[in-house]
Amino acid sequence: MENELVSALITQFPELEGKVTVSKPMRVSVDWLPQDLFLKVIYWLHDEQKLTKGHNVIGTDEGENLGFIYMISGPDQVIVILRTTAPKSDPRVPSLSGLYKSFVLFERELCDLFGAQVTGLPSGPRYPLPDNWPKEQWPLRKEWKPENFDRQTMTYHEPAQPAATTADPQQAAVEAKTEALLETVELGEEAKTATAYVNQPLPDAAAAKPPAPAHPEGDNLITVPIGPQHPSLDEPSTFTITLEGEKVEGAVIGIGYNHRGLEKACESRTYVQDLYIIERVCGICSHAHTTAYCMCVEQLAGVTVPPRAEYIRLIVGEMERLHSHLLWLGVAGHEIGFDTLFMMSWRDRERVLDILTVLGGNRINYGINCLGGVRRDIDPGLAQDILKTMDFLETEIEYYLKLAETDSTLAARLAGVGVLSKADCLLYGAAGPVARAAGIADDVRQIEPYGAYRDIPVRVVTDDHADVFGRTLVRIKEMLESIRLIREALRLLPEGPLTVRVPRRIPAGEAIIRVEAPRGEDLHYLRATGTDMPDRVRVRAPTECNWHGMQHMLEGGYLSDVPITIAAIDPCYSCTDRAISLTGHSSLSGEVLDWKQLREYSLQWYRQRGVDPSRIDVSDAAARAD
Amino acid sequence: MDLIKKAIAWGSRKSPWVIHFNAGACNGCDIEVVDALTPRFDLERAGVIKQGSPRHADVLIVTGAVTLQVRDRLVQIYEQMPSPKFVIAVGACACSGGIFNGCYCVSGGVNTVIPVDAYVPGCAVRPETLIAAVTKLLDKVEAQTAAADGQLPPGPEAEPTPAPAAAAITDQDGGERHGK
Ligand code: SF4
Repeated sequence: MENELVSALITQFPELEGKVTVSKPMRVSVDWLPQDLFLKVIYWLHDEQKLTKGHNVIGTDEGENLGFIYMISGPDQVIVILRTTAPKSDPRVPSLSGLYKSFVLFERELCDLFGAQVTGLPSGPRYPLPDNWPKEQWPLRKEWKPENFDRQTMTYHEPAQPAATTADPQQAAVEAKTEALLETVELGEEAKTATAYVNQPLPDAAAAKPPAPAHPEGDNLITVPIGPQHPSLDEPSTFTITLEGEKVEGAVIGIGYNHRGLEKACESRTYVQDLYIIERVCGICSHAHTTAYCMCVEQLAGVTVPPRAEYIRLIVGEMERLHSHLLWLGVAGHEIGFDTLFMMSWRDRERVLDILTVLGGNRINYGINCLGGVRRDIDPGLAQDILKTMDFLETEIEYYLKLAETDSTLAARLAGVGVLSKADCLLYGAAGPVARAAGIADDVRQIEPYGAYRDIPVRVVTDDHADVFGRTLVRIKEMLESIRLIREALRLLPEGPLTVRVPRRIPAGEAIIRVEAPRGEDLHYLRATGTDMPDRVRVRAPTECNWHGMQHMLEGGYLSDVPITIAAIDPCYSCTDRAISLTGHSSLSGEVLDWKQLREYSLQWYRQRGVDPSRIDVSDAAARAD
Repeated sequence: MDLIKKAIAWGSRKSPWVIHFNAGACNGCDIEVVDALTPRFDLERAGVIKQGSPRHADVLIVTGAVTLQVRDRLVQIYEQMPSPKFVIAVGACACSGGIFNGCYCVSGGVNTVIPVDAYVPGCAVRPETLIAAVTKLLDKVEAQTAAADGQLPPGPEAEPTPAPAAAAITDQDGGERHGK
């Protein structure tokens, strides 16, 4: 498949001769191209070759230039890697979000983190940096050093330059002044559109003043801000939901609250240290992330992981899927007011965590993976325990399946909610159970088997409901499949060592690895330069793909279905808990009243109605406490 | 009105209502917080109920290293809570920034932003540790209540954990808000 694509590319674009390589099975890598040629190639691949799935866009710092690496794939699932550059002095690159809807967030990242000007990018809340991030600070550029950034004042201080001998201080002062003047000079029209989103109001304030075009009629519409506080099992996020009556007319999703700057941190730590950071990208899919990261490093170092380690990775990976899906089932139950299901499935989940504790020593972030293998062995006694637990879980999960298929309340609450059709899934690049529930057999374990999945093929579970009900069935059935895989792996578990040695310095090169996390495809990019620290680490978690279809899923639904729709992509969100922003009476400024102001407001309210609350002693006491 | 004060003190001791805020955690600690409320651990035995709104809560459980984006929101949530209020920092991240300390978008531990009453270490914390922390906090509340002899149990206002010099809250009385 790869070679056909390569020859087709070269026939169409003779100038690509020698620039296209099959870097490994399922990967076609194209060298750096000038922007005009790059555009021609990507449009041709999209239109003629039907490479319509956008996986990722990665920004890199190439010294004088900014690099942009695009990953796309088509029906045969081969990932094509295209690259282009733009000079840092004029970092313009056209937006491809019209071609690949899923690129919007990635391109926003290019703007925020690298200072690229992506022309034609639709406006929206900024991502992923904080709203009050200083202008012209691009943290992922190599020259930007976190230690020079003052987080309290949000200012960046250039490190004091060792005094150049010839520099004339007066001259320098003049230059600095000129530069400051130049900075205030108006940006060109194009640059303005590219950076326009920076000036968008805060998500909270946007709640009070939603973007005007979303609802021309105005008066009948109510805007409900949700978040960022909720019993978040995933990132805190805001949802600004515009309602007409009970119906959702529009939704604006604001994320980025959880942006910690891990990718930058990885660049200044060694490969071994990074493993622990990568493990903490997400506490629920920690094993999937470390598996992908380890596979990247192992590929670049050219080592082969011992088979026993591959099997243990599979077993832990499937246990992670079990506990993640049980967690999801509970949250889904909670969202629709079925708390019994919540308690039951979380009770069962504890059994999985018990095994992981015995194996890794910790309930969460169990750290089984290490570079070149796994850290702990499964001894026969533990294997017996695992099998017993699997028997127990199988009966429980079969019961949940029966419940989901027959319970009329569940069906009534889940069927037809949050529909994302097959075509839309493809358009928005949905991944994991969301895509599989729409009938797309998209499972990395089958498309591109890695590790022990090569020996134990996965039976991919799909469904064609394309709604929350379908996603529930897919997840429950996947758990049964996981149990089968774990049993099979324990039966076939080969003898042998657990690790191989991985050198401290990793030879130069780049690796693109995908694994199937519980929520879908997890794509890691790693670039090494021959030192003991990576040059660039990019983690594209599955949730990042599924956000794109969210807005579409919410629109047209009912407010009461919003929580379950959001939860159904498994960011585990509950709306029962949210920050209530009480807006000031006179203005719609979006100002949140603090406790004291709220008390004053209520006292006034009562006074106007002839009650004098100040005569009640407790309020006095509270005032003192205040 | 001694009775009312006593009732409030008794209420915070016997049934603290908690809210949980993820200030940039990896989720590890968040699921453990929820875990503590599920059948195996059942923190509800201690009267703890998870609440949705900060306006109804006595205890704020914060997980995660505080990212710059949530920093102001965390202060807002803290200020929306009625006194007496308590803050528990859950997990290595919330205690000190943990593994994320030094990342460019991380402010550090929770105590760089709001006063903290209890620190629960662990990455991720185990639910048992969390239960121990909550019960210890409740004992502390009770001891303070007893000492004050029927007075309102003093909140962080009475015995604030010294926040670092550049803390976001300038005014311990919760009046002034950290500017946007
Ligand atoms: S302390 Fe550890 S488990 Fe908890 S949020 Fe931080 S990184 Fe995650």
